[in-house]
Amino acid sequence: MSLARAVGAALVLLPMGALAQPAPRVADYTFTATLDPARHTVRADGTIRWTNPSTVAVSELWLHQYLNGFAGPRTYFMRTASGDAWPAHPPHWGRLAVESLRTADGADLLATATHDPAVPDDTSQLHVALPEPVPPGASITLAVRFTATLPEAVARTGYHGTFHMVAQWFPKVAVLERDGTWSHFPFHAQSEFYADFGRYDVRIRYPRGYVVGATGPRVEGPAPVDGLMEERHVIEGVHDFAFAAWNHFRRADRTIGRVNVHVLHAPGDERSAARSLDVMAGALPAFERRFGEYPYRVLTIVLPPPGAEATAGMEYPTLITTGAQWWLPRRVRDVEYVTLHEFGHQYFYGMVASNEHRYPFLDEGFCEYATARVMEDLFGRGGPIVDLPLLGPRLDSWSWEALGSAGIAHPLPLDLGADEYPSWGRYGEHVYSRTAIVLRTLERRVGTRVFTATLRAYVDRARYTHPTPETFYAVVRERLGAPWEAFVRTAFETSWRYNLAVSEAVSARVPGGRWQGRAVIDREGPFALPVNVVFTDVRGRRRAVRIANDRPVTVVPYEGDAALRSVSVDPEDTIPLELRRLDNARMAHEHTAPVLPLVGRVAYWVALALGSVGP
Amino acid sequence: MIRRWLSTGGRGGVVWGVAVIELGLAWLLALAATASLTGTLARHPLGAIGLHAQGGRLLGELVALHAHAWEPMAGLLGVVIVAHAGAWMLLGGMFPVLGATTGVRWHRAAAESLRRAPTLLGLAAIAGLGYALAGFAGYAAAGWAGREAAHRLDVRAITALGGTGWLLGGALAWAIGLWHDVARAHAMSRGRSAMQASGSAALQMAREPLATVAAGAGFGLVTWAYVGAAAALAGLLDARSSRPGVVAALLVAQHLVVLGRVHTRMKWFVWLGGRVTAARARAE
Repeated sequence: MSLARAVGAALVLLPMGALAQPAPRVADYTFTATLDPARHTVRADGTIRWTNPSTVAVSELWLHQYLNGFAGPRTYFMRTASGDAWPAHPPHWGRLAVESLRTADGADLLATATHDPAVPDDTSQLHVALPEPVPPGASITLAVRFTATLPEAVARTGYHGTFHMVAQWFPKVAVLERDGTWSHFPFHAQSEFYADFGRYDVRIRYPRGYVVGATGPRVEGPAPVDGLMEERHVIEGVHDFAFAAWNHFRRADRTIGRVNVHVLHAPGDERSAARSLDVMAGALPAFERRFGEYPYRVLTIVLPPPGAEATAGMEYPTLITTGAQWWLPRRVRDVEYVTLHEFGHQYFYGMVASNEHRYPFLDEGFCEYATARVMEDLFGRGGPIVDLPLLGPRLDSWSWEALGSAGIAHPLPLDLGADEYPSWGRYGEHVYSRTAIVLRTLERRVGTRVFTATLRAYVDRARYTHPTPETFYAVVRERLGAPWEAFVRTAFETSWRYNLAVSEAVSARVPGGRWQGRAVIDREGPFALPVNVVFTDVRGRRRAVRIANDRPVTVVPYEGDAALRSVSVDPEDTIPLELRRLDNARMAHEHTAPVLPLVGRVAYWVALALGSVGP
Repeated sequence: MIRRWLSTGGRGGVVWGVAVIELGLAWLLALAATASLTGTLARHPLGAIGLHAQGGRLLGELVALHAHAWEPMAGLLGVVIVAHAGAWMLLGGMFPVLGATTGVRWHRAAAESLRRAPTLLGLAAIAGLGYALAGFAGYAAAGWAGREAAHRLDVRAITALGGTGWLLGGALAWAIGLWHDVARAHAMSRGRSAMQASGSAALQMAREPLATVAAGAGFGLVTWAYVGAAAALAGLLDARSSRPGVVAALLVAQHLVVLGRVHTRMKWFVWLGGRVTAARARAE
């Protein structure tokens, strides 16, 4: 038996839900949850077994009850929701009511539980005083009963008609850091989540006729229980659990490698479902090649029905929601891009479980980079998102990120907390685009192979942990050296604008028939990265000169036997984090003929517009 | 067959003239609209091909760099289109006169159109009312479809319902446009007032729906077929190419589309002129 076969057999023999590489079990949840689609509620009871992962004894617990972010107009979530992020408020509010919380010996913990007094009008956090301290490494088991009332679809969760996206539906223990401090925070509109790894064993009960997709593999059911259907999902090495249920779901399945991929979609959305499966067939191996094994045996992709779009485009462990218009042509890769991005979160959020509230760039930004990287792997150079020849220009993934970063008018550091960005728009352009383009720049500078190995080393080191930026910096230092660590620190920790421009390109004939001239290269910003300056003469001959690019202005002399036609700085695009590429090249003398097609095409469309109101 | 289609019965000069004026105006506007862009591109070694380079990055930068120019340009374009529509409201009788009569010089047809300006404006006002009604019908249909879609599950059915408003409004607007053409033909060749011409047009469309409506649709389809052919050619030749032969071929094809559109309109009014003349003969 070959080694590959032996490994394959070992993987097959692993019990469902178990991992090849063990993840810590800090917070285990065992629930029986009953969905009532008429009332849009989930009633659940069960246990939370929490193990103290720190080095100090603790006598308190912080629980997150994020569904309470939608409990009314004055919650912290609603107060921090800027107009361009989520709707002003859902038509129907939701809430999470913990009805009972007791220790194993029956002590009532709710009686003394409080919400965070520092955040008025908000019940998204629950502080629980424990009857006795939990020493390091010791565990405590809590019995809990609660009812989650879902809001109408808003901000990644909720219901629409009989469709239910059940997320943030249970009280979840916050993260206790190793030094004994709690990383707890109220549900902020720009923030996502942070929790500890554990084992989830959830029995979901729902009315007959419904189809359920949930985190983790289904290990039992569906089978009738008390007039309802019940199915059980068990998984380890994850830090959240979500499920979707609808009585009109259609289903498409495909096995990709050792992963069973299920798509749940609305009737008539078969095309998007097929496209999601097609892209995953390439993406799963591509992600595994670059970022390591996807250790779970299942992935569920939910395409929410029309009206429930607010739940689309979100990641939960082994369950993602995506979506796009079914009629979009294949060369508009909207559903592919969103699917890849949400799947990328299985790595950057799922396994590499950074604090999304404190360092959102570590999950969204790294995931955005991974998305564009795999888009390029799958669809060719640049990773085209839109590529319709009849409409002319195409839009590549890398260009999309670069333009997003270049659009930042007032730069902020990238390592800010989610709640420190003044708006959703500014959060997005920094956390997603700028982070991705910084990583892309590093890739372009050190080479794709070396950078992939570096990122892989980071993923391997951070897998099933809560890395901070320092974790990444350390890997960069070890793999690429101190100068590149300084680069990423500057790029992530400071606010910067960076641009290279050819501000002058001239040449003149000198005695003897030769031509002399110069190019002036302006640099704005902090990064002294050597680049090529390429002179092209009027005969089309090119000559490259390497410059240190360590000064704000570099003058590069030109000498040749023909006049200078143009000058380009960094034509290989090794610094894509630049604000503008347009000024990276300059003619010695302006030319007019090449702009004729542009004017002609605009004239054509104007003529058609005029003709529509003509004779 | 082709020669027969190309023939306008001696009205080719007008077709060329109108097309050249439209294209000239379009080029002037295009030059003004792209002035800031071409300035930037002229300094870049790639020229206009830069728009297709680097995965859309240069185009995106151009759009952002000249963001301040888009609003005034759109305003200018809007003003010119409105002025163009206004001018052709007054000259709206020119093509019907030329279509119904052989041997009439274009300037006489234009003068006749201007003389009948009140009638033409009246017809335009009625048509405007019709367009408004078409818009309202589309809006109402979209509202109904939206309510209907809320109870549907199939995303394809929901998409189809979403298009209902556009479809109904568009079909009505097209019918209004057709009626407006027929009414102008009646007004100009039979000397009818706006109200009389309106009635005659409606009567003709009711009496010979297959002939009039089908002919209107046919001539309209030919116009769009030219646009489609140019787009297909762009796809075939790769519109992103910088090869001079491709650029020249596409420019020629696109200019022929404009010429073809004016030509088809003239053919349509010649056809309408024949029908209206026949109707007049029957009436007399």
